[in-house]
Amino acid sequence: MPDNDAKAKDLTTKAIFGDHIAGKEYRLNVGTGNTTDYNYNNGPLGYTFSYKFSEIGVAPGLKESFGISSMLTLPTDHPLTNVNSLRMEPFSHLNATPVTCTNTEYSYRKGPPNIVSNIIAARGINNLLNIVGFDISNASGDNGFYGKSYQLAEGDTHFPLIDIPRAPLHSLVELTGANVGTRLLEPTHAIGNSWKPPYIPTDGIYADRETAGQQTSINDVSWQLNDALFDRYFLSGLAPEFGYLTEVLPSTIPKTYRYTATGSLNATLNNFYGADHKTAKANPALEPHVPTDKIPEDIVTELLETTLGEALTSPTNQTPGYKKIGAYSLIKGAFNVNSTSVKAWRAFLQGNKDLALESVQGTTDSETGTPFPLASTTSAEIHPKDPVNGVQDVELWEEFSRLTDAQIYDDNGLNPTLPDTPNDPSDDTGLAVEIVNQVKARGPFMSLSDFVNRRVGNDSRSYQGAIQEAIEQAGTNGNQTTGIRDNTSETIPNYHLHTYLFPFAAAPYAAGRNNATGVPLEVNQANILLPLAPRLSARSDTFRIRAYGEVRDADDNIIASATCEAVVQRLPEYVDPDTDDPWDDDSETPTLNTINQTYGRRFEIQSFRWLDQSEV
Amino acid sequence: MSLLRPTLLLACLSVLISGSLNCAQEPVESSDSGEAKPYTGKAFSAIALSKIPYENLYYRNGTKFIEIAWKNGRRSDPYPLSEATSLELFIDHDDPKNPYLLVGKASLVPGTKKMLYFVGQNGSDKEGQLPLKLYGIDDSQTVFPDSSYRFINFAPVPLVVDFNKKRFAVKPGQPKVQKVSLSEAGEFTPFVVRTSKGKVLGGTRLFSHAANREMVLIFPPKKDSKRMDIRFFSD
Repeated sequence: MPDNDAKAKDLTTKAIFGDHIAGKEYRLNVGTGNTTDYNYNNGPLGYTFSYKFSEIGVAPGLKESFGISSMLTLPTDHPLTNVNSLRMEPFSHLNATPVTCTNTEYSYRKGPPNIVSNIIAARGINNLLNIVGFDISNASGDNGFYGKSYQLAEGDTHFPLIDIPRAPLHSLVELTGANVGTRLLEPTHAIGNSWKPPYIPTDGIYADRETAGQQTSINDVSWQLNDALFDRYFLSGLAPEFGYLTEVLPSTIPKTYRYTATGSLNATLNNFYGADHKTAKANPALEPHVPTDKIPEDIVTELLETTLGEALTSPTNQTPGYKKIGAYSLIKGAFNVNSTSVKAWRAFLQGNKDLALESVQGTTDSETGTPFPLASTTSAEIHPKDPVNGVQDVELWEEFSRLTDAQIYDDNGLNPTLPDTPNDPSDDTGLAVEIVNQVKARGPFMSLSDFVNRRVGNDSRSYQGAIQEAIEQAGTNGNQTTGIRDNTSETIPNYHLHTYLFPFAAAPYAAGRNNATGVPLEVNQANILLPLAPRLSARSDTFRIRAYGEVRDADDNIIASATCEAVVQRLPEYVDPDTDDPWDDDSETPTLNTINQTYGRRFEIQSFRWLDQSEV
Repeated sequence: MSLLRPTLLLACLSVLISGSLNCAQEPVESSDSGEAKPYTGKAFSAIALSKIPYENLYYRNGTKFIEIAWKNGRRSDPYPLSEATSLELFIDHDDPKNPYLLVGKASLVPGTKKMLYFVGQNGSDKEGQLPLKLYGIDDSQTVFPDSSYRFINFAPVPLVVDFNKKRFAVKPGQPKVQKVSLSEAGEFTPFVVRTSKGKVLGGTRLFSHAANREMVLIFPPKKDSKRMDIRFFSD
């Protein structure tokens, strides 16, 4: 092409205008160089592919494709030009659905690092697609392949990555599908996971980046979201009765659903505070709490108040109903994350053992083991196994994740290779054992987010949260030669070789993981937390208290003694409920009366009994 | 996949296939009206399977040495073989008595006037061997008509192809032609390559149209690649 400043009237000679001056030939230049394809991510900066119409052989009267510019989102195992090419985990450490990309992220090359960008000069559509390396599915629909690769042999036409809830949420981790972050260098499943980003130092949750005079901050979004959510919010699941409309759309999707309310919130709340709270189908971890000075009808009325008083000229209601639900419900059987009991963790983790799962597609997964899916979708119906070769490695990207009993806890009592007995805990293995080890190494946890997040500091606890570290220590996902990771990806992240983008990536940081981190069959911290989160607590609210008393005579002999036991429960109400409501917050400015500032929430005796000497 | 070593089987491929050629540039016959008639004699076109290591490459037609113009990713224009008994390829030579040096030679494809030659490097330094290896196939419409695909297996092992709802074997050196009822605007046809045991090696949908002949050349994966090296040549 002519120089940028060439005037049209000057384009009169071949020297200025190039070969197409006579209308015979065109030459497409996009930089400097001359090959048939160019990868923005790996190629040199500035590039040309150069050819003439005569070279691509356009026959008279026919239209011919002369080139293609492709921009494809990076799969996990895309062929790389050399061993030092950037390899990263596109479904965990990068935002798979970024809204924006900062200059720092973009200027790594000419394209964002999660984009495989090619300009291809080749003749014929088949060659163009072939050189890009993109296959089109032979099954119904016009799907390409993605996930592990763009190709039929290893890629997937469908695999669940982002879950769109179909029912009222019960666990904060269900929000992990929401793209709360917006930038490319943010995790895909931020909420519930805890990996230290390779662009953030271990001892911080921010980093300043300066590129070409532009200074930006980049955050550990997972850390911040977990910190914001886990100690402040819970999800009641209290919502109007609902159903699904099956829609017939001009689409290749087998079934489509649309959430449809079939009842009212009023009815649901009346059920929750009625004779059988389970009829409300609320979060099963919750049960209603009706303070002694309240009646259910009044509570329902309060909870239905949704008008924000601040918006009114004369405020009538400063606290909308959703802020009060914590005062009128209790967690049934909360689990203290500071527990160091392997048995307790084992029982807690196996709460859903052998639970059958129904997928969005209507199929039922009835495998044995305890399910820890991050999405309610399996693609088994859309993408059945190939009848000839099975394509088993593709299926691994689609199925629900489950843990066997031994993966959760194994006393190795029957392991013939270990000199063990079932009662010897020293060589017990499994996730429950490793979680307890992490609790001992990191606890006591002062809050739920403290438990969920990595420790900000400069030691081994600074790379991931307690459960994620326990998962790695237990080998739950296997490694590159065994287990799940043996089949998900052959590519290992190499952030530490690309310090421009990832200045805080230490080589050991990605140890154990591969590029497919975060795909459905893997079990990561968010998977584990999803069913557990509604019952987690960093403190206990119920206590068993024993008291002993005795009477002595003048000679200091015990002539009578007694032991009693009381079970007391902390309730939402303050000790003095007359002036302060349970939802009153004085965390920033003291507003509570003196009694409540001193004694806090009210304890109620749930049971009391005298103990026999044999019980002491 | 490891069975498919990147070995070109130029020598194995026999003379088989055909296709329509555009009018060769010479010689031109005159009709009664004096207009130029399309050349209908023996002619060939050529496809370079790898980069030709010479700046100029010529073939001989009788006493004339004619330069072959290679085209990026497609077959060359057709060249007449009216006075040739074999296809001989030459490069420039600095001997004034013999200004052309023979670098490749193959016999003409029997039984057809339209030939397609694949040209590749020999890869052998043995004395007496020419540096270029070439083989020809029947390129006539009779063997390879419009609206059809021709599959050629350059891998050293038999392969199985699923195409247009049919499954058939494609042995090394034995190209398969599949006639498809394609529209003028063109359409995609499902295509899968498997091992003889059925393992999927690759696949996609291939595009062609009623007036086109599409050749599908299947090579083993390139070094450090797991993907089959499949190349396409349209008319």
